[in-house]
Amino acid sequence: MKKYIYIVAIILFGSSCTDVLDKKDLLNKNDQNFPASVADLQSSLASIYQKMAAEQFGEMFVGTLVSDEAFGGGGPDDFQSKAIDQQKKNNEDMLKSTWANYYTGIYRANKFMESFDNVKNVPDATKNQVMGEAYFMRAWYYQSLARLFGEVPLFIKAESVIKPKATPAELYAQIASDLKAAIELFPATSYTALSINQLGHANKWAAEGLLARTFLFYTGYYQKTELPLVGGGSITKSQVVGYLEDCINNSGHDLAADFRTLWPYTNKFTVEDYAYTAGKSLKWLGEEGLNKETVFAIKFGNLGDWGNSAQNAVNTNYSLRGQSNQANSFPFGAGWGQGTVNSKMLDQWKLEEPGDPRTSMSVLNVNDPTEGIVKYEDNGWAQINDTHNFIKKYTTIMAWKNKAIKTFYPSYTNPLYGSSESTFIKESQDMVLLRFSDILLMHSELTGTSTGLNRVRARVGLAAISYSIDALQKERRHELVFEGIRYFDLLRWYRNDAGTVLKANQDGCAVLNSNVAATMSFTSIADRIKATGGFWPIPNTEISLSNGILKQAAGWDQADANL
Amino acid sequence: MKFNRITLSLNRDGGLKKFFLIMKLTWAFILILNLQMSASVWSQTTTMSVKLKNSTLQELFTKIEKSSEYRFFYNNDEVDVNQRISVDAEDKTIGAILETALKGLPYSFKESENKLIVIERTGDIANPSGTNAQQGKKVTGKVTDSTGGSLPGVSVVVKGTTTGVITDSDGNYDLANIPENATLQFSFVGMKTQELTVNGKTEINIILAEDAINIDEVVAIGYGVQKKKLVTGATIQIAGADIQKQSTISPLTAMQSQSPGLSITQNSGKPGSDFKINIRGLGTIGNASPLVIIDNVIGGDLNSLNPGDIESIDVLKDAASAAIYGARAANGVILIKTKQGKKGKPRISYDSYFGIQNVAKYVDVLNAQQYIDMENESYKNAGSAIPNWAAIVPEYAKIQQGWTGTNWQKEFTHKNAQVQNHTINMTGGSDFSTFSLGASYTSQEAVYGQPASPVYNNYSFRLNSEHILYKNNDFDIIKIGENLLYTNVIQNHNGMATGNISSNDIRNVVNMHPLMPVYDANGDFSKAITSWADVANPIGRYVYGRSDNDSKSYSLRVNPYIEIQPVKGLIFKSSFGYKYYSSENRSYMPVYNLGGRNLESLDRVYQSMNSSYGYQIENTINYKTSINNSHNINVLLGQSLEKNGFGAYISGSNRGSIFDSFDYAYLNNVKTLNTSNISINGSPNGKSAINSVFGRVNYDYKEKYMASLIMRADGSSNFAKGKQWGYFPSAAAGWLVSEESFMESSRKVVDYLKVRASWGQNGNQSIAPFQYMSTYSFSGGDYYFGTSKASPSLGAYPSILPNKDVTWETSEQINIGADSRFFNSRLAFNFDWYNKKTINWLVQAPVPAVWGAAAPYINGGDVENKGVEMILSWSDKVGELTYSISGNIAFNKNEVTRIANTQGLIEGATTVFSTADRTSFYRAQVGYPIGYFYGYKTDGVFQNQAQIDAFKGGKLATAKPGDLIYVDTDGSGVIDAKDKTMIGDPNPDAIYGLNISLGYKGFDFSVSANGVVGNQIASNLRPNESLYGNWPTQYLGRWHGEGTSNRYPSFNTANLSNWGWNSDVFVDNGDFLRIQNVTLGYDFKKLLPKMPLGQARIYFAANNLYTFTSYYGADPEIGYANDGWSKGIDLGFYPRPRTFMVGVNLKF
Repeated sequence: MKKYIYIVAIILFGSSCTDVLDKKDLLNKNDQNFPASVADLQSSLASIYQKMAAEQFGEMFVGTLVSDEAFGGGGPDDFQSKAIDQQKKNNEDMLKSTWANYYTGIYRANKFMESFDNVKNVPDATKNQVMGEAYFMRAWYYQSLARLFGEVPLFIKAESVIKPKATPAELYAQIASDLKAAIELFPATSYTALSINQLGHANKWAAEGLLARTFLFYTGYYQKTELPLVGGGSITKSQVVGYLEDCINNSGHDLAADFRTLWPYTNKFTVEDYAYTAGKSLKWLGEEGLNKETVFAIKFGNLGDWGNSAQNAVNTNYSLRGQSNQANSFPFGAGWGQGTVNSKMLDQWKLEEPGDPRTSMSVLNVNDPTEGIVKYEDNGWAQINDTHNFIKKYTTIMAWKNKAIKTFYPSYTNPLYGSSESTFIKESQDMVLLRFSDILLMHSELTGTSTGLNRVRARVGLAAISYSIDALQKERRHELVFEGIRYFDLLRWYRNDAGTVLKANQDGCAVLNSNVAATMSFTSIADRIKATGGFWPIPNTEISLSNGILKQAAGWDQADANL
Repeated sequence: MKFNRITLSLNRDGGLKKFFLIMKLTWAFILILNLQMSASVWSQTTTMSVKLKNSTLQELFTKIEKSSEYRFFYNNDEVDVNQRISVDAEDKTIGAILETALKGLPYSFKESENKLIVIERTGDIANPSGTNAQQGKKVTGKVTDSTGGSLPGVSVVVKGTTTGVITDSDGNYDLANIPENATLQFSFVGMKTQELTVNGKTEINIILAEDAINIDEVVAIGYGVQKKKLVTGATIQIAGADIQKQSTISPLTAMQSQSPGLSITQNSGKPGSDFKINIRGLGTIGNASPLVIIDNVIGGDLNSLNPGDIESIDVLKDAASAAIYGARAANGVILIKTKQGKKGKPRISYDSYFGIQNVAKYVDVLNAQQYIDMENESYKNAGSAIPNWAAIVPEYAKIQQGWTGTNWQKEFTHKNAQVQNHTINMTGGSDFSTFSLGASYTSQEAVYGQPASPVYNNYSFRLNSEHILYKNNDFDIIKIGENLLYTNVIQNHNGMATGNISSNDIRNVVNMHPLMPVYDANGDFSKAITSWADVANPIGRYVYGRSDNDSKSYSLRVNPYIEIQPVKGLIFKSSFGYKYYSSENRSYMPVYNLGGRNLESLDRVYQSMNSSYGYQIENTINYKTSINNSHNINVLLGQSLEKNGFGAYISGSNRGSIFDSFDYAYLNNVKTLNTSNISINGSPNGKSAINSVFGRVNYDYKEKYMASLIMRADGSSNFAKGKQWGYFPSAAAGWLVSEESFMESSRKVVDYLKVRASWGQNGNQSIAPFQYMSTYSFSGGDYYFGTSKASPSLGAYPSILPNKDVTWETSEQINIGADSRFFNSRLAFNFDWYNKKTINWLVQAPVPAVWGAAAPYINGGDVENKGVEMILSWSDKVGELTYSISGNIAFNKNEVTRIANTQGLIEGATTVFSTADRTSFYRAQVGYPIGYFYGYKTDGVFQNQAQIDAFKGGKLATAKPGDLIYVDTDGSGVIDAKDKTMIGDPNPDAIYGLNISLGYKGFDFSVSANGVVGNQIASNLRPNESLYGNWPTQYLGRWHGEGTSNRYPSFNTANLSNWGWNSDVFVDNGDFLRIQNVTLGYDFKKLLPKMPLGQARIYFAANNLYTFTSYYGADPEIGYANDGWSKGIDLGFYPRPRTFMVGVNLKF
């Protein structure tokens, strides 16, 4: 008996060795086994871009709403868009997701660079390309952060330390150095020679364009003549002009023949059913390599769902709100009615540039008979700031399923890409961050010449003019409207006085708030921009987590900063 | 029935002259032996030392009775207790002592498990009775317990005499030859002694009430049991009968009123909803649930256990008690024992109830006219034109004619929802084998969800048995046994959403505007009003969007074990626990259009399956011995290996079924393969392992001074090598003061007094694994390079910042307590004070977003819970009325003392309310209780402009009459976010319970109630700035002119600062007292004693009868918050139903 017990005891007690506590992570890789291949590097790289898609409410959205192009709009409880419109905050962490997403992108880029050497025998061409992209993306995130928040902490290593804000010189030196590195690493492959698999990847031309944008903002806003580099040296205006000329001459990018073919309302499932475009033989250039005007864009897909980064949610934000029968507003689909267009801006535009076809190409006026809209219902879901003008470049475009009985796809993406017919979440229009017309206009502005300017004008049938800063500014305003450019242009041109322009161009615009007539009021925007320099508040959580090392941006502690 | 304490001590009665056993004693012995749970003869194991020279037998008996629990039982006419004897025994068993003492005398002895030693004359009976024979009368009757079960072995004695009998196996007795006016005394172990006068009756049936507290009761202490009298920690035991008699679906509901120190709140009143259980306050914002152990198998779902299967629940509250479960005991331990086998002929019981449930309280909301008036007021206050209702609302004409609009809550109500339960139990066994077999079925319909209300069905099957393979005369050598429990839960229409603001069907019906009907003229769900196209029919949303949803789960737990006792007192036990769990879920969403964005143009089919299992291997060695009959030592050594998380989960959904109903909602019936419609998931269940060794020494000196030491070491796979092992010691001591000689004089008052103190450390390892590695995630990092919109490039990103040092969280607790009983045990009082500190709290403390990845778990904080628990009970009998009243209360104070990030702060979810202020309403912060409410403090409402102008201190520049007066808490002169402060605490200051029970001639009546004091509720039942949400009528008390309100500001569609900021306007007191259960029963056995049943009780009961509260919402007991570590957030809470039921208890 005793013997038996001993045996049992030994067998059972013997099982308690520590090995049982070892286990494998079956769902994730880790530092020890990742990255191990070029494919891993590509995956790692994709995730850097993904944070850009995850944060669509950065420059493009904030810039459009706060500018004199559009209002907050939306419904009564869309506090953030209201606050952005007035350069105020609706809560202490207003742009926290923007901040967090961009820094996450930066962390991923840093981590990518640090772990790159784990992969052995990477061909030089591949290495130059992917490292170039990592530098580009880090620069992109920092230039976005710097233009939105002014001064921000600078991390160029994947480290968990608390840092104070870097100075603009430090920040811009890093951005410039990263972009310069990217330009030098990238091959000079023309757009037309790119494999379509390379679409969406940053390249030499995107880096050159972004460097020019950075140069213009830094030298304009901070009143400098050159862009500093890390470790001394600088990038001069003539270097930037050189980059732009390289881009203009060698990139293979060009203006599209017809401005309208840049936007999805000319897609093949809609174009002939949309009164405005029908019968004009227009064909959307699409997103599969034919759009040579796109220099760099955030790319989306058709697997969109609530809150994921596959869908372009800004489109939905700008689309018509609360229409009970979407067939009546064909081809304009359903959305949240934000970013209603400032009618005063439209009026000014028509005065400044009579006959500019881009007004109706860029703006939907629901009362315009040429749009062919059967009926627009006021006060859909209590629409506020309604001017009856909506953004047309980025909006939901529908397609008929059966035109006769007016059944429709909520979005052209359903028939085009086979996405499921879920309203609101299947928008996949790429968000173009850098368009070739911007390259041309930046070149004009930097050189004081009219070549680029007139190429842009000629495309829409406007007469050639001679260069003046005034003409250049107007052209940028008209050509690039709703593309998140205007506000930052105003900041670099007017700096703290940009608010005066914003007030003058928007105050008193007639709107309908929940179907009640009202006028827009921007009484405090001039003071706000003076106080803040046009920058946005650092999320309060970040400040409190920094143990006081990070300081709030100027102008955001005062009482009038609250919506 | 309990078999612990013998209250019979007939030989002590000084006036005892004639004690006469009418029944043949040998018969009684057979009976008593039949009752024995095991064949061990205890007088053969308990040892003591006795030295008597030329003393009487009486003296020996008294000595043994004093130093053991044994009582002697004999017939004075047969046994001469003045017989002189001499004994000199050193550490001998009682049996051996008696053998020595009775040597040469014509007496033999036998003993039962009742610890009753019967002395029998074996020689000639010198004086046969008969002189008084046939002079008195005969009385017969039956003795039962409070549940109607017959009580065998009860001693029935004519008071003041030695005449008596013991009831037979059916509880019957038969006393002949007794005087007309005799008083009968009924006594039984574990029961209160009762007296009844014969008064000429020939039949006297009696129900014996259980003793409120049984000193010799055993309680579970983990890997064993211990006499309650000797327990040194803070534990509570709840009898299965006390759980079952409350007729609740979940045992947790029934535990609410009877377990001080446990905070039990349901996340929602929906059938099958989970509970939040915290023992002695929240110690972490992570998993704060206690460790649940069902029949020795670690980890289990207490909620889905049928109350009828439970024999007892033991809760280990203090660290010293829980330390034996070291690694996971930081939140306390709940030990559940299911019904065990009992020796004897098979006994079958059937318990059943059927009830109807209704909504106990609706949130009162505005009717159509009030709603329109309120809307108009809000527009007017904003200076806006009022809406053209006639144009907006199609039903406007009807409203003008007096239609009050739709009350969505009532329309959503499933009236008279049914609830029923059936439980069958059978127990029985022989000397060698015992078994307990049970099967039960429970079904509960939901009171909300019409016309597709959820139904919860629970089927369970249980088999517990134990077999003795080898034994000798003294003890069992090899025993084997097993516990098996199978549970099958089937929930229909299980998709009803309860919870946050965006997915909450109850909220949807509460705040839906009343201006449209449920159904249109065609009988379809009416579509949204055109102008408010986003505001869809909430009932339609539920029915189409969520109701077609079934989930099933299957759970099997088996625990075979073997116990080997090679030498007396040394028990080796080995057990293998296995648990299997699988679940499946299926749902269907049809094509529908409720107007606005509430439409689906393709139907959707979803299926998921999950299966998992885990096992544990445990081996213990237990040695029990007694030295000199005074030093009692019980040593336990053990080892445990547990592995969990085997198995996998898989789910898929697709759109475009070839059928159009839920019945056919299987993925094979969807033939379209459009990638963007398909979602597929499959993952392993997270494997984890815990490897442990433990030991315990329980010591007592003459059961007067007790001490206990525990040490457990656990290794967990959740941590990096080198950080895996944690060590959890504990120590405890107790002193049974009432046993001291100096207490002798006060013994009439103080029956029992024990003081105890303990200290211990427990662990918590409940975090996601691999926090110690820098992991790369492949989920959610994809990006769309190239041309394909349908196939993204796979993204991989560093998902967490690694923390190589992460390890156990430790909970350290000091407990000081006392248990006492007074006035012949009628009054009982228990008291505990504790201080529980969570050290190195495992927390995902927020890190700056600039660090670029999610925060890892760190050992980053300390929490302190201090409190006091008390139980006071009184039970007695007046005539034939037995009654008892018991109350308990627990005070707890929770405070976070450290959070290791620079903020000292962890924010809760930010989308708690639908206010403009999208910051969290609750947080965990140093210096405050976990989950406290955070926002602006207000000091009334500005009544007029003069008041605003005269107002000193910080105020909003925009302040108008009717606006809130915000308190400038930081005195900066400006009202801003820095003025936010603590505006409420969801943790109650005290939780209390109350139980009253009465018994009278077969009737039984009981009331149980529970309540909380000192907590707050944060409610947001109206989407504040939306123009279509209905208002609770509570908000009619808003400011609408000077003097109309100093609490609620005016409604104003253009003003954010009143209703758009998180402030105490949303906070109400959450005190309540709930009458949880009222039961009135009658046992027909009393009326028809001849019926073949042992018990035939019928009862009527009401659950959740009434709730006393000042809170305006549907239910003040709100377990919900967006994060598990807060609660008390009312966003439209599914209230507990009120149930009226009728039930039967039958015993065969």
